[in-house]
Amino acid sequence: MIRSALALTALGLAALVLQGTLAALLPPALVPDLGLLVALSAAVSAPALPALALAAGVGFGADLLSGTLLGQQALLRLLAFAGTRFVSGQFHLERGLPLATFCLAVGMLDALGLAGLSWLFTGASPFGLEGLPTLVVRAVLGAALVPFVHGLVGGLSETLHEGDAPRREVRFDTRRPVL
Amino acid sequence: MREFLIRLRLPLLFAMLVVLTLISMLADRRVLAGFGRERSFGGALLELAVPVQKALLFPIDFARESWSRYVALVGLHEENERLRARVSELEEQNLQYAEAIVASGHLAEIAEMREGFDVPLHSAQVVGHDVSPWFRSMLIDRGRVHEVRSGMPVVTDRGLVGLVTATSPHASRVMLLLDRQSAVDGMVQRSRARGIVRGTGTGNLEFTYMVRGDDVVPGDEVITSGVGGAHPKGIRVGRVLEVHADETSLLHTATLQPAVDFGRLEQVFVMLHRGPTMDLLYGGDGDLPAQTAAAPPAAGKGAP
Repeated sequence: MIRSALALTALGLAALVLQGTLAALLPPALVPDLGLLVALSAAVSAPALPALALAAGVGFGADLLSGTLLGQQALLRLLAFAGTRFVSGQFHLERGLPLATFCLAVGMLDALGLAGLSWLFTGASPFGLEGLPTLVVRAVLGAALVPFVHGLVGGLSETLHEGDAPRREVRFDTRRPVL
Repeated sequence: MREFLIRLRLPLLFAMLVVLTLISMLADRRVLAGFGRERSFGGALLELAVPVQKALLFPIDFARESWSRYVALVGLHEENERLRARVSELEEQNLQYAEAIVASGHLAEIAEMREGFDVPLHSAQVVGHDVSPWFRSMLIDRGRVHEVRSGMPVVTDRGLVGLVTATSPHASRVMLLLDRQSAVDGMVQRSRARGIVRGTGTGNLEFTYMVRGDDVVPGDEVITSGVGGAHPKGIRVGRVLEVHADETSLLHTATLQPAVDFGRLEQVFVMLHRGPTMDLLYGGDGDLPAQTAAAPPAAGKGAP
């Protein structure tokens, strides 16, 4: 479990690093929210506690590297984690198309949630109607990329889960005669 | 009881984290609203951000360097011959222009800017940009150890960049003029028409609350007015691109092109002085160095 949590946290940090790198090179609309994609993928395929830790870590990390209030993106990542765990119980989110559709919706709701929280806590939204095309393009881009990210996170999670699996106990009933 | 806790550990942990995020947001908001002192509670995290952001810059620098060294130098030999001949020609010209470059070049502009302000300036390197496309801020590699405090203006030789909003011992976060939460009291240099320069979240600024009839035309330079005490008077903010004059409205707006090219910021200067408003907002002069706290209000370059 600890190995899973550490590996997933490292993956989340790498996602943020890559996102920051892309932010310096590409227009804002073409920079996918890799932190969100990793958090969603982990919520679908990783054990619950490491995935929760990852969601909180990626959220606080994004808050740290951005002008948001501390905790703003962390709260949204936690809600995305809870929503994903709930929905993945009802639908097969481990499959590509349902996951991409879900990610599209979460990508849009995440940006709207960010605007709503900013408005609630600071009285000003970080973007207006002119930001909607960027919002949509980012959500579509995220939906297109999430199957690949999910494959990566799922593969990593499976590999680590095998290593972390507790040893099965074999019980012998010593009261029964052996012969 | 233990089994009960183990079974509920996930919901409990989730609830604790949600409460933690709400508390941290409220605390951050209180500090931003001026109820707190320095916004330094996230200082340790900000300290960690600088190496992370430097790590962010590393692949970019590496890619650029690789490009310039290997990819862009295809056909080097042919170009080299041509350049050798050109070098000897330019060396001669270089001698003649050397003095002119020193006098009118970038360094001279920086020197002139430093002399233009009565307050000391501290140079800082931009080490990172905002990872969210919805917010406009950046990290610089100077912090409280270097006497940088929240509320201090950040400038370049081109004009105003923004305001320091959070500090740690060795790093600070700067909210750019482009951020939608940014507002600066400005005036048109030519006609003295006053207004508020606001960030729009895009590449341009908005000059709002101009009274109908104010003399503002495209091409006018907008500078800080000094009112409010947040920024010294006379720092270039931007140039008027377009005036939106609605005849039915008492107040007009204009679109400004920022004086600073925010896409190419590498080096900035923190003005080691903050106005009385910012002092009140961020907790008086208790956390200011004595000499800067006692410094008189600054008069900026180009101030009329």
